[in-house]
Amino acid sequence: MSTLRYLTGLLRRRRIWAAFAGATVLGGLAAAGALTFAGAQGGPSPGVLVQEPPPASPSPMTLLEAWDEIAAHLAQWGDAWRIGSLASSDVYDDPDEGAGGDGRRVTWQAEVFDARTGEVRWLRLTGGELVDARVPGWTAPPELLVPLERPTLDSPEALELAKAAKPSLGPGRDKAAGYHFSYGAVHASQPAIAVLGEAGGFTARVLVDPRSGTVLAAERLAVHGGGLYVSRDGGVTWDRSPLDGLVQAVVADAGGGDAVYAVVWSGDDLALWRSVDAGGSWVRLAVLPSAAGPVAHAAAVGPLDGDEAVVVATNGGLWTYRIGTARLEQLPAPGLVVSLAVDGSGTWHAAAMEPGAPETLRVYRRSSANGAAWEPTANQGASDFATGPAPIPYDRGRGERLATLDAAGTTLLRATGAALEQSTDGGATWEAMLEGPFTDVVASPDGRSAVAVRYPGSLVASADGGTTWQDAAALPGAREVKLFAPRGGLYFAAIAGGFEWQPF
Amino acid sequence: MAAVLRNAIAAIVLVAVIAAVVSFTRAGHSATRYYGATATGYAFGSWGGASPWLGELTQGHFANHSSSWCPTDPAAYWPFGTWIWDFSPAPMMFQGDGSVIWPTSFMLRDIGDPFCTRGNYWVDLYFGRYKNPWDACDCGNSTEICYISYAYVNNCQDALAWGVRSVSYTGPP
Repeated sequence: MSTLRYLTGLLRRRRIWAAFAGATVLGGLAAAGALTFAGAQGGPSPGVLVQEPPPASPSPMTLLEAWDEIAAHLAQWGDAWRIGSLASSDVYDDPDEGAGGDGRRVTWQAEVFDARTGEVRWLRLTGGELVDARVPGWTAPPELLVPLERPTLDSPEALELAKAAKPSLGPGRDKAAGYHFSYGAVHASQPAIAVLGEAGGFTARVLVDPRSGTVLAAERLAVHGGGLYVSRDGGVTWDRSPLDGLVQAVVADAGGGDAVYAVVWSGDDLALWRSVDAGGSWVRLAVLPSAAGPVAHAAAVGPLDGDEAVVVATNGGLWTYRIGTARLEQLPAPGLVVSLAVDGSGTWHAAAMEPGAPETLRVYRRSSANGAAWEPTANQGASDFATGPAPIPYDRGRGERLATLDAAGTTLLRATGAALEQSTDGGATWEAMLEGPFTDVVASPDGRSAVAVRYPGSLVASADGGTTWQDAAALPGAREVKLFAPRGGLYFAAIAGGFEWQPF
Repeated sequence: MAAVLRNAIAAIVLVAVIAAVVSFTRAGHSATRYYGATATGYAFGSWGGASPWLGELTQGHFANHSSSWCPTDPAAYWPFGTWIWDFSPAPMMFQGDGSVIWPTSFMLRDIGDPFCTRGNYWVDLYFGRYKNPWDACDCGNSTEICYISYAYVNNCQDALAWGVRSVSYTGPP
């Protein structure tokens, strides 16, 4: 990623001048009337039709106001252009939590098409002005495109109806902040206005009939798992482990013992589970508070404050389960913790950042002593720790996964989009062991064996420090697989099922 | 007097140029070229996937990380509706009538990879539906043959065949 950062940094520095040059050219072309609809009469060659700076103080508008504005632009392109979908967006907006609370948004985007040729175009309105129009360069069979009719209902009324039907619908976060609105087809012939927000910590939407105002459905975006597999022989053979849900972490105490702990999102709650028979059966120990949310970024087990504890990192803070007393409580955190590890001496390691600011990533350490504080280290930018005998920090944002086979970090394994690689000099040089793409690799805590995932879901295993590998298993239906190596010879592979809309 | 006038004009021009540049970049049209990002492909049988926007998910749309699930990826904070362009190498995508396109512009409409196994700036390109919209179909089910009403569509196979590629594209700063 250092190369990426260097290049993007270089481009950022040059961007101002490029922008100035571009602005000059665009301004000249626009003034000459040559830019705005250049290519509109041609075929669907990819390109930019309109690119204008957004207004300095854009006024928000309703769905119907946006519809009429876009329809007026389409009329200039001919009489066959139709709107296929229209939605508000945070692009060119700086929304706070209350944005859209009056049914109005700054930016609206439409996907439009020529009903005769099937050519598709994208439009973006900000503050009522057409700031972007692009030809993505493809056509769709006209009979598969569904033109919308101008709705009777406007976004302020749709919002009122949605909140009346589902009072728990609140403003959204993540990629759509505040209340948003989307007008389009639910299925091939069912148009609707979706009022988007959040309910119970989930992205949610209430669908309203665009003419009658009837509430058609209320849905939340749920994530589910695709299964958990276990290997008890160093990754050679694999069986299903009976734990449902999205398994986000499987950990064990490096100090020994039979217990293995898993953190699982069931669809309704985030819970801690324990197995004492190497994944043959599981018992639920505790359910985390709803404030923790559905995401467990990491978990680790080790000595903490005079007890053995499982610590889980969530968007709602660090949560610790005291094994001896079966108590679940919050633990002070050095920020939003995204990765956790405990080394052989009982020292805790965390990669943490300020919420919303990945550039603040830093590694912290904490002793196991009672009430000890997290101390920042000099390592900045690391977002994860290598599996194996030593928690070596690294940046997983580079698209690589790292495992170490010795405590000094001399022999390393790396999964990349091109190959599975081995280094015997601490990462100075790498040798490709298997052609990829590989998406994950883990090593057992004793460093004697390792398992990797070849995209999309084939497992390979090594019992000799990564020198030779054997095909182990192909996980059915797997595309996103996460590996865990909680104990020597014991491996787990979790499959991400995906996101889906469910009624709420 | 002429020198003062020239200096004044020069100052005005300079201020105007700076204002234009600041306005243009502040307004959001600045862009960044991303190199070495990872791209994968996906397909499914449903109408809209995980996209909160209504309307069919189509070729030209893509998914990336959610900031709730993968907060360390700067691109996870890009909003729905974000465009990326000049994508290279362009993927080959079959359409329902058997024709082929190589799109280079994509719109963010979906989220994926809750395990965050991909790197920063990962994009998941939607290769298209491979079955009628009212029928469910699992990509991993190799025994199931899924067609829409045209001669050729197995976008699921095409998406997996795309693999895990290193790509470059232009997108938000």
